Amino acid sequence: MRQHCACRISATPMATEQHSPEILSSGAGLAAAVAIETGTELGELQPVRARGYWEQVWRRFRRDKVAIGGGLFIIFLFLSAFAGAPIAARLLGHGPNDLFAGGTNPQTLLPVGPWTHVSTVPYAGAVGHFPHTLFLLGGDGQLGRDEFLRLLYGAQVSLEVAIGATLLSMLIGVVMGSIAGYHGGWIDTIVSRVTEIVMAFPLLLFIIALASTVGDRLDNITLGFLGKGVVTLVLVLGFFGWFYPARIVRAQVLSLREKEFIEAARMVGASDLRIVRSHLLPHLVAPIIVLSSITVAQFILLEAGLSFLGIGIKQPTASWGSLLSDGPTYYLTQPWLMVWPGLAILFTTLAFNLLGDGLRDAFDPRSAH
Amino acid sequence: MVRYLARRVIWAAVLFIAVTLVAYVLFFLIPNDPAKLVAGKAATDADVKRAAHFLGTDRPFYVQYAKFLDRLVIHQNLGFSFANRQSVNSIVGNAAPVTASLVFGGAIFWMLLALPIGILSALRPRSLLDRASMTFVLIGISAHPIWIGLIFAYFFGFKLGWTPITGYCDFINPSTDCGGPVQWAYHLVLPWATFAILFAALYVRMIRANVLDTMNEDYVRTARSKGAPEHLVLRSHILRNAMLPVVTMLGMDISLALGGAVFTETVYSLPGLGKTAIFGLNNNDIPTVEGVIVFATLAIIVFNLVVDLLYAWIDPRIRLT
Repeated sequence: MRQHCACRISATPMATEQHSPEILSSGAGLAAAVAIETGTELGELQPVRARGYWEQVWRRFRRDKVAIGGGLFIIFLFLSAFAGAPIAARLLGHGPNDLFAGGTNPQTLLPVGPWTHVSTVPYAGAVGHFPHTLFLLGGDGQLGRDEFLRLLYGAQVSLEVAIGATLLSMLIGVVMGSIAGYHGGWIDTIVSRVTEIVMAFPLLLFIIALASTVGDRLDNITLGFLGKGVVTLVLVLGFFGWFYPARIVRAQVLSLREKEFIEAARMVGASDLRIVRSHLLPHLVAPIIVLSSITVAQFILLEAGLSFLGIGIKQPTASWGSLLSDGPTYYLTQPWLMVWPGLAILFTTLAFNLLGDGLRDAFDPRSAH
Repeated sequence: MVRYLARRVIWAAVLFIAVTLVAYVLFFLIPNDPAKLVAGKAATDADVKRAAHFLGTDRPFYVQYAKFLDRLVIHQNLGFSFANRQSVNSIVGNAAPVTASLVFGGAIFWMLLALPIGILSALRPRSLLDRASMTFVLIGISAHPIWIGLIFAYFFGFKLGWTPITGYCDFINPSTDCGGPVQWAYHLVLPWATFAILFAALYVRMIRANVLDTMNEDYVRTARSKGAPEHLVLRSHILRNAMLPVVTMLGMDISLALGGAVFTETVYSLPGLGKTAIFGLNNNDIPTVEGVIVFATLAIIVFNLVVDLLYAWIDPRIRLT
């Protein structure tokens, strides 16, 4: 599917890697054994350890440097969002929502540029005892907040929404898809028709409509640790996101249902629940993981879009989308304000897309072009 | 054929009812009453009541929905906007050409980009062009359309001054200096490019994968071994088969975009359907939003039909049953 550059080339000679002991032990015949006299002597056969499914997947994944890079970036992002952001706030001595009169230029009322020392004078009590504080990337707009900290805290919101919504949509999708595929009959008809109809919906309009209508009621639910508006977005995106996974799961279950091992399980009297849990679901893990990674990327884009339109995450909570919407106001003086959140979104979605592609190739080597 | 048409019509009707009904139910959830907004800030309770009666929002939502259906089906009338009493027919009628210009122009843009790049990179897998195009794909699907729009507007519109930064000009009706085909295209170049990038990326990827798959088919080998010239094999055996799924996707994407090119329209301040819908939502203007949704659904139904017919025309093995 993707350009596997150097890693692809190094990945192709699978046969050379299996070399001596394995070919011998697998009884490939004397000809093969003689052909590889280089290593161990004849007769000194070493037992081959069987490789489990996950071990094979991991071995294939490990060779994909691009996907590993994506994975590492995601780990780095998590660390900087959930550990780095509070640490940075502590070191700098102010929070992402603190307003500074010095964050805007007093003459022009425009946000200050990158690397500006901002006086904390009017609010000194609120932010520790520093007379000055540093704005690494400048101010965010007329309110004079720290763009750098808002970017970091925006990552929290993005990840919370995208991962929460992905989990929710996968959960509903897997349940609906496996019930429809396994049970068949009228349940299948209903689920299939509903997914078909909803996939023909002008979904973006409905997501916007739902987010703006139920938003007022759900925005204040934070469960103590989530940003304002996160719960709304998770529910709305999850609600509209389960159709695709449901279709995929249903198709998989339909083909698995007729396999011999399911029949055997049924014959020994396993209950439906047990068959689904122990015999069907393990086969669904791979496609679901791959789909999840790509869905997270899409939800991050969607969250930013909704927040840009002002219906996602509400102020004062920082989000990449609302940071992006402030950008165009300062076209003339601070064009960088448009660049930072955009780059943050780009790198994050890129990382999840790369990880998803790499995982797909690792789970199913045939899918790689 | 008759059975096919009957099924199509029933499906269209079900889809239509489902979409509009869900939209009505959604609006019933709105916490603030549109009547309050219409009546104004200083309104008494009696005023609000009168406004609600005037708008019809004092009736239960299924009555409102039935009236909406009745108006629409019998009189082809979408009603009047709550916000400014304009006819929704004319609101949608004014906004639809803007969105249609954006979407169809964008579709031409992205197909012009995606077809050659996708085919060439499939013909030479792992070449420099292939690598470059796959990098483009990754960035195209990862960058936010809003962000691409902002950067384009800043760079090409503001810094280089090649194009206008925002705004829209009518294709016909050159009453002012902003009008006529030239100004229309001039104002739409950036939105087209922005809108096309995401889809171009997706389509390059899909076309490349399809062509690669089709190249390994037995009938391609047969054609080659019969001595068919390479360009003929490519055109009649590979591309004709590889393009089938592309046609389906194109129809679906265009029809979906007609209802919701919200982000591009917002960035470039194009007065299209997406902006109209957002305006309606912000003002609790249910008829306007319903109007946009009706239009979007009709677009989806029509395009599904077109895709089906095209499909049967491209691939004679498919019979419409």
